[in-house]
Amino acid sequence: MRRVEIGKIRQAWRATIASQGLIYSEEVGADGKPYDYWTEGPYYDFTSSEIEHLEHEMAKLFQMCIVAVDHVVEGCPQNPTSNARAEVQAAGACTPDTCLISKWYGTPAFAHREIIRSWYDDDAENFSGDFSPSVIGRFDIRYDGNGPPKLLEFNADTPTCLPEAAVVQWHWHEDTNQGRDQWNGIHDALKDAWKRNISKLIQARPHLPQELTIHFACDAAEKSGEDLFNTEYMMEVARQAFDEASPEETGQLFGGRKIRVKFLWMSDIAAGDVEAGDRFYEGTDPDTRQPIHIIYKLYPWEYMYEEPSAKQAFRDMGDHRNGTVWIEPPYKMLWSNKALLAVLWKVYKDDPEHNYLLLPAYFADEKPSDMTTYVKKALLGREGANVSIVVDGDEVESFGGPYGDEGYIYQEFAALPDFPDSTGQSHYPVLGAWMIDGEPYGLNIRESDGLITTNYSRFACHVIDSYL
Amino acid sequence: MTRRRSKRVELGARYLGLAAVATLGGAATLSCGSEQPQEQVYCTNANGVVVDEDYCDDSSGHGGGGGFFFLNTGNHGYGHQPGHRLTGGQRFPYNDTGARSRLGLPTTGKVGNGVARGGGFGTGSGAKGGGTGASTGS
Repeated sequence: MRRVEIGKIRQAWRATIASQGLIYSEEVGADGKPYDYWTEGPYYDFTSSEIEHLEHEMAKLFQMCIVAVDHVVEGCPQNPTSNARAEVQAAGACTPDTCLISKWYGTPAFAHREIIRSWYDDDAENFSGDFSPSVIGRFDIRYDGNGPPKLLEFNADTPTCLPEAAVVQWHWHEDTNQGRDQWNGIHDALKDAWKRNISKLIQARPHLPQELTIHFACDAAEKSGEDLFNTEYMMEVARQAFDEASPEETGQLFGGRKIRVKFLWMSDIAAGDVEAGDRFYEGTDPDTRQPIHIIYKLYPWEYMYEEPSAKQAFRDMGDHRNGTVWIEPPYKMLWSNKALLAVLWKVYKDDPEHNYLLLPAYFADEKPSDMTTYVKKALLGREGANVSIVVDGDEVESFGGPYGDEGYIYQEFAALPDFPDSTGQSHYPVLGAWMIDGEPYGLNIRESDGLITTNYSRFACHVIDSYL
Repeated sequence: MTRRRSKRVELGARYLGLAAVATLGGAATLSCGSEQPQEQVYCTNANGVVVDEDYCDDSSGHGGGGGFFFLNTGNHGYGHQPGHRLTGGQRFPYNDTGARSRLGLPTTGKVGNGVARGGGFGTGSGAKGGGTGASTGS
């Protein structure tokens, strides 16, 4: 792994990336000065063996995350399949004293049943009869090309950077012809993921209408266009998956259904009357509103469960025939929360076959007293918010934000590798490994001037075997 | 060596068109041009004066306000605090589940003051995290 400082610079590259959906590259930094989020010119170069190594380790890490959450959901009294069923269920209601989801994640109890149900939907042993589609996630890892990758967080619910990783970076490689390849099968893998997931959902819910609409939603408040184009790209790739299906595939996978996609804002999702058999709709007029059967939302569950229609949404999900299917599913809350890092360490700390992919991490009440060098991360923080680095008891770097009331985890500090340029300017990369339908299919890099990757960090491209 | 990239990355007319519009007019033109909920809901007393939203919450843990409190939906705007008197709008008892349903509100429980009618999630829903203008991605 190396940083190539002098790379090709395309003419009119700003217009090119904007035409591909990266309309949010021209930003204003924390210092008030304009900067480009997209890096044109410098890029990272990996060897084939490094990429093969990363692919292998990301697949392994994904399996570890499954084991970790198995451990969590087995410790919830609402789990009907728990190995500790009698003991756990005897504990009664979910409280921090009786339930690991409440204790470690703080997720409200009304959400637990559907978290657990959606978790087991794709499990051959515990299959509930329903299916909960899951398409995408992104591991953020520390990696320098020498040692193993180390997990920093799992953006499993609302990962962004998708158009730039899957589309803009891909075309950059085509245009500049640098490197022999790029780890970037995201676009094709997403199409396959949509086909497989919706096919399995239709198997579980054969009564879904023949004219089936899948909605895609994000929050209208985000004004840069980042959320909108991440959602629009996901909708675009799903549209391609369904439109490009052959008649044989359409018959075999979708029962002959015509599947269309449609965008709406989160605030346009209207709640009906669950008790009367209603659910969630596009539109509020009873004469014209359309039921939302399936919806992909680029909007975090931890926001949703605080909002007015939250309890209704989880009650509605309990209707496995007619309830709205939300993608990503509720169990993603247990991966996207940084509590996962402490849970993983609990499960694997004594297992050298696996723990080399982790940095030791602890909940606040379990942090060793002699741990004086660490990174403190808010459980629900996003884009570096409410992260601070403490070395020998002194805070050396921090990034503010609105999170932290929900608690923190404390992770061993491993400084990001520095790839300084010829002027001596530091560049600290974090790698994002894209997991599509549970398998690794691509890479993006975000570079920072400091040790915390934030919403001011820049996107950098990568190639494989640049000088072979 | 094995190719690890997608074979083709092509984009459809809607996506490319949106990118072109956003490039010309800025991303905000896309959200401003969308159909947004226009009406806001407030909890009021019988005189139309905004009161704390807990008075219109009949869910467990909250007493609700008996028969003396109402939800009022109309073009009131956001951000009115208890004590502000609303004019106009449509008023109904806070525990009228049928009216709540017709207006796209949760049939029971709290409706935050200033919530957009029909907006159960996201901007205007009374969201803790949403509505800040920051990305909700990660």
